[in-house]
Amino acid sequence: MRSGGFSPASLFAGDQEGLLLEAFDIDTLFQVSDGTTPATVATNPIGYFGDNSGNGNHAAQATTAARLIYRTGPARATLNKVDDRLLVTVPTGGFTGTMVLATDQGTASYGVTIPAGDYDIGGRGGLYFPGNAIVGQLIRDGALSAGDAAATEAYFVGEGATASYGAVTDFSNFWRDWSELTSFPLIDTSAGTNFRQTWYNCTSLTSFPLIDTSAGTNFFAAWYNCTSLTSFPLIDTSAGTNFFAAWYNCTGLTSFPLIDTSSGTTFNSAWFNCSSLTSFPLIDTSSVTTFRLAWYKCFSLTSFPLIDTSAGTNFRQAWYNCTSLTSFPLIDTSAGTNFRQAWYNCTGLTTIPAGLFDNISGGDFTSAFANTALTETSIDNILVSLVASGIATGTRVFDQSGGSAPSAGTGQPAIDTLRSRGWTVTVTGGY
Amino acid sequence: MRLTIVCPDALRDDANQLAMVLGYGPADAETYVALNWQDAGGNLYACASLTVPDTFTTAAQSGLQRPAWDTDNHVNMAGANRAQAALVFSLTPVTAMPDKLTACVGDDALATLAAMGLTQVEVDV
Repeated sequence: MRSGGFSPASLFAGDQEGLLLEAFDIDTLFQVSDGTTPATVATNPIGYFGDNSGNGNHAAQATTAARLIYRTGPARATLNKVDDRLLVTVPTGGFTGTMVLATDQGTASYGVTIPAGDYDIGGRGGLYFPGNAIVGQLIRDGALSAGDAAATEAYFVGEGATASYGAVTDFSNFWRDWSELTSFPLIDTSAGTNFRQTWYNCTSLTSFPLIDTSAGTNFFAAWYNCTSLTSFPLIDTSAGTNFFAAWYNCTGLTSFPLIDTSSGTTFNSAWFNCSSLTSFPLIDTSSVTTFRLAWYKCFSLTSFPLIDTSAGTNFRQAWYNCTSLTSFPLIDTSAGTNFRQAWYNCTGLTTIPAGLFDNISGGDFTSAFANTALTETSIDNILVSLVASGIATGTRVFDQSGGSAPSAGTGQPAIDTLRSRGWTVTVTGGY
Repeated sequence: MRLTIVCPDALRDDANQLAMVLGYGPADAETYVALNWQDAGGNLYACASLTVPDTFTTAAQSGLQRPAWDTDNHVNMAGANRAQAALVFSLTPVTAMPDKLTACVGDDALATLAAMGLTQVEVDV
């Protein structure tokens, strides 16, 4: 018994399934995967990590190079985040419950669903782990009460684990590919600046807590492919500059909060294939230069706000396949040079306001309005606006298909003018 | 000492044969598995990192003997010898080469890989 008499082994009474790994119990550590050759001193490899839950769910690693290393001060199983991991065979039925993971960088409790079969202890795929060492790890089939989880965390901290993630600045890849996580705790991330791929491919997370990300600058692919998230909290992203693919393929998100993106410069693929979003907030995009693929395949969006795009140069495929959009606002396109396929296959798009392209900086509209449903007025608006832009050098391509043909009185004369300026223009009706 | 070894795709099979000879059993055929790392030229590598005794480098560069456990000729010794011929040892990080099995000494595996010019394969976006 340690830490005031509590022992997490008691949480497995009554044949409760799961496992309990304690790096500070050296009697459970062996160098060879068959449970022979005890680990006795720091630097010994750990090929076998005995289960203290009484369930016999021992973890082992037969491949020499992939074994963890025993260290002391405090006692822990270190891993290199290159190939180190142990494997435990989760029994038939799997585990659905709670995992308490105590590391050298922080300790936290998670909701988990782990299917039967091999499961990584240590780096996911040998690579991704929230820390550099395991002090203790408990997985119980059947959720722990908040009190039991807290007691287990305290027990591991008493054995040398770091309690809080509050000192960590670089969270890159910490929980990447941890698809077993169904809930994520409200940990202290206040010092975090780099959240690159932190929750990448956490496909079972259904919710996300309001963590402190106020110091975060890099959110590259942070929640990439978190397909089960249906909502997202109003976290502080005011310092964030890089949102490249941040919510890529979060197909379950039905809404998105009005986060502070005032420092954001890179939004490539940020909401790529967020296919359940029906609306989008009026976020601050005033510093964003690249919108490429930003809302690609957001095909449930029925409207789009009048965001500040005044710094945007690249709009390539930005709203590609947003099939439910019917109209589009008069955004500032004055710095834009690349509109290639920007509204491609927006099959419901009928209405484009006059003057949208009056002040553009470049004329690449290749397939920009291909397969749309533009009204005669809208295609006329676009063509007249391109004439107003005065673009007569560089790339000058415009494509439209679907929808209405340009009018004889307005659209066709505009096409004549554009062609006289070197534009290649293709429109519905073949004019 | 910690040794971090990077193995180009083309040498994986042979390198895993060598790992069995220098290691402890057939499971060491899983030493170089996923091509998670790449160099500036886009060449892919599988990487392993482990602590070894100081005698390891000498043993790894000496004549190879079929391991005692391999009584049914599980190990392809020709492949192991090819991998050994491609093996480069260095006490400091050197640039990874797409035709060499490069092993470098360094306490921090991730730092060693970075110094060898390797980065994790980028996500597909």
